[in-house]
Amino acid sequence: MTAKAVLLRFLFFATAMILLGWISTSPTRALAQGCSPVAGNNLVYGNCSTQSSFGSQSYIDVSSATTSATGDLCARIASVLATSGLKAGTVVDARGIVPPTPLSCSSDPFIIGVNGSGQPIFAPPSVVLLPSGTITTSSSWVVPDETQLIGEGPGITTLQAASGFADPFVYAGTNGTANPAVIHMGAPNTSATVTQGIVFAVRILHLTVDGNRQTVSSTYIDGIDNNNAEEQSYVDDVTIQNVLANGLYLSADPDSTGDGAADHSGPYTNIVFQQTSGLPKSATNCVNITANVEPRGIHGISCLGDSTSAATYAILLNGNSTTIEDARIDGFNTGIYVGSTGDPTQANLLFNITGTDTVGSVTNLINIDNTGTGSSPINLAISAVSLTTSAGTPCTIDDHTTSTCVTNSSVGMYLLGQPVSTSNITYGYSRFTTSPNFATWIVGSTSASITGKSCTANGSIFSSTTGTGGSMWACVAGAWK
Amino acid sequence: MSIDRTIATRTFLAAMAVFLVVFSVSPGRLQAQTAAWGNNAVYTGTPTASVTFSTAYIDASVFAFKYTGGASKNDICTILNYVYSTSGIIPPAGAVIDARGIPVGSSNPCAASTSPWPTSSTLPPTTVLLPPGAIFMSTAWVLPNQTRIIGAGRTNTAIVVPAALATGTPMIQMGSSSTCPSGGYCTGVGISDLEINGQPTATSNALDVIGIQNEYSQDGSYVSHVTFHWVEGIALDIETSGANNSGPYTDLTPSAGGTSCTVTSPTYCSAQSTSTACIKIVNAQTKGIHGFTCTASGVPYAGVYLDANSNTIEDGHFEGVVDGIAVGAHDSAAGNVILNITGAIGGGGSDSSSGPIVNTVHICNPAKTYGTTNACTTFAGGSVTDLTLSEIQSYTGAEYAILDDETVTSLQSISAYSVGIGAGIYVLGEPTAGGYSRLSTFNQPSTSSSTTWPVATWGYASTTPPTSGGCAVGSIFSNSSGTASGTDTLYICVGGGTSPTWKAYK
Repeated sequence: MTAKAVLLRFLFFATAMILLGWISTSPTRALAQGCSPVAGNNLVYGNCSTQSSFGSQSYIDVSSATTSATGDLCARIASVLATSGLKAGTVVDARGIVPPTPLSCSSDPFIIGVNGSGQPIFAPPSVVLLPSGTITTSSSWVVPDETQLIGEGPGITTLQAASGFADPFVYAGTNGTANPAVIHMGAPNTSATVTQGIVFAVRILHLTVDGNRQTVSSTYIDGIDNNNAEEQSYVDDVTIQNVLANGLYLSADPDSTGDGAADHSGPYTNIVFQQTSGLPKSATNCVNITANVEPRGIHGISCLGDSTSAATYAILLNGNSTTIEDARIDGFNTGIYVGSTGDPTQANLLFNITGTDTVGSVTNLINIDNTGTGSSPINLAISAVSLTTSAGTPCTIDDHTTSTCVTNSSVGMYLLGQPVSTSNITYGYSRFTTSPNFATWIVGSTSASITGKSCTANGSIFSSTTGTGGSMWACVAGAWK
Repeated sequence: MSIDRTIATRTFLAAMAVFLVVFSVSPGRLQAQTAAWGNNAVYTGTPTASVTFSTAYIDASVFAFKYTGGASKNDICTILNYVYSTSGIIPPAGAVIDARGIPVGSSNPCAASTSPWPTSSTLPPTTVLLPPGAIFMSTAWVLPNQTRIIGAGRTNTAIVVPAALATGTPMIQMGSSSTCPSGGYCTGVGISDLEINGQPTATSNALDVIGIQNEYSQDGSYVSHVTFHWVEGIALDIETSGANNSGPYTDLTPSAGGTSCTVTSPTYCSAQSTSTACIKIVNAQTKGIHGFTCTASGVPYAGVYLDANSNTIEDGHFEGVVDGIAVGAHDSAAGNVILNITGAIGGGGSDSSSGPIVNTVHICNPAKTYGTTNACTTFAGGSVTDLTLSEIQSYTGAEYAILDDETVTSLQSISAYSVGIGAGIYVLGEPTAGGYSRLSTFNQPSTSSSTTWPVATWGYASTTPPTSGGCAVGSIFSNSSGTASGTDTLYICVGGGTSPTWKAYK
């Protein structure tokens, strides 16, 4: 062998050794032992020895994880949620499921089994991403504890009740009623079949809920019901349509006060309630907040009825300590009905409430009841409300406690306090309004502007800031004195 | 050239070619250029039809396997610190760092004295996704500028206080003097969807620490959907002008910690400190606290201390604190708005152990002499002015919706069985000679057996007022049915003592 041949062989082996050494010590090699992706894991860069990518355990793509499944969308989601050892908060991404997989559900995707007592086993906490398109469901969905249900946007992802819709959670208990609904935020407890108790952090976002005018046992179904979900639970950016009962129902557990209520849930934000076909019924409500419930409020809602304004009330407010703000009412006879059940609803705050007649007319924007068997509403603060309507004799605020119909198209402030009473006889209420048509407080620099003039609201006060001609005047029988 | 030489030469060239090809497409090579471990793998589409990387995203869990020879480096703090400290992993423009795949728990705590973030004011902006499970801190965390941490949800992701954290020390600081830009303040620091746990181990007492403190982060900085579990000091502490324009702080559920904690249902710490608080705002003008439930045993003097100007606090609920919100307890407070606040005694669930509440809102008077058993304190020159309260409610019988020490006014539930009492509106303006400008709709006697009313108001009816039964002295009553010939339109409540009456004025 010549010296040149020896050199060439040396170069060959040296090169081969360098190559092998580089491969064996590269990050690719080092990662090989740590790879354990499961089907549907997000792939991230960071090699395993025989794979080009590394599986992220925080995420499961349903379409990939259930390729051998033959079930519908909900069955495939449920199969992932039932995975042993699923980490709480895992993102379960069903957005990749598209036809021909049917976007229909014959069962609740969050019920992953039945225990020995025959009670449903609900899925562990997760974030479920729904695909675009219309998902028809034959059964109501219960979004369990600390679970988020997220669509791709209202009108893009639609969850629609199918013909023959069923709801196994309908229950009339001693503490209230669980209505049939497309979605339940937590499971209403029944004394025997469901004992889930209070849940928290149940969230529904970015989708349309379509009741499809369905009934259960001849009762029209609700859109989204909350009987059990408390702190950190809310609905955001959701359209509710074709619901002929309650779009959003906030109530208490039907079985026991200890099993929760919609207390301290919310605020419920950016909600649209509308009808795309058919006429709403007289009992159709955009929102129904029942007695003694204390949600944090509704912040941003459009309640759209229809041209007949056949639906009587857009928002029923019988709960306490609730704020309703940034609301638009259209096509309902009455916008917000405070104290409809005669319960002593109190400490509610309504501001920036608008009634329009684009869809249908609104007769009364805010109706304060005084006809129930219980105490009348007290401590109600209303600010910045306006009504544009073609109705014949509208009231922007119709306060039956003081027999006041405020017809001003807009009202800056209307405060209803508490009764002025003695011996259980109510003479009046502490009240303040900026409407000049009712007793109000006017401030001017001089009384010259009112001297000898008529006034419209008996009991009004005029304060002169200069005192010229008198410091305080009262409107008495149509004249300033 | 011999055949032998030709084979050797060709072998050498082929080997070099293989080496170059492998090297040019290897992860290591890509990493050296623009990619990093943990980048999202994305499909390139035609014509190459291959998998490439996205630098917008880094899955930090891949780094847990980088240190196969040193298990001690596999904890989340060490891994994140490595990601931040190592050049080339995070693009200068920032990225999402997904740490949800990193194992946590008591068997994998943060390494001693290790924070996820190195101390630097020049780290790129990032959003860190934290894993479910308990993250056992070893030292306090300081979030850098434009850093957001997002957990897997309340109680799913729990950040657990280190047992050695000194009293009064914050578990998490939103920025600091050494991590914020040269201007002195951070922006865009966020914390959401997780639990701050002030109990070092499941069997120990809570620590007297601060859960989250903001003294340096301003616009775009927030805390939302966060549960504070058993923090004995202050759950959320917002102090100084360094926190101006931060918030809103939304959807918070702080529960007070203490000692003698029990871990079986009902779970609570029976021995709590009077100084424990859910939220403190001191000399900071924020975008407000919107939505919270504050619970304690009944011992803490106040749930929220509002010692600052121009803040909104709305949609809040208290159980188990003496004062829900103490306004002006340690510093002046002006121009604040407080809406829809309720106070009640705990109860309702099998796990509920919250105590009673006395005052839903307590307006302090710094000029008043207070003892040491009160949230309010005495200090010179302080005041509470221009405060708007609306829908302040007590659902505890015989307790107070509002206690106003500035005007010596108490709005009390009139009976022990009352479902609640409050004020539709109570506006405290500014002091004038002899009093304050003020407007209230509250119209109840001080107690069920009293004939004195705490605050003048304006009554309205289409009839004359009652001739007996008393009224709030100084009140006005308007009768919309008043006649031109009579003096029956406007009445004023006069008299005082035990028998004030309505007197016709006009």
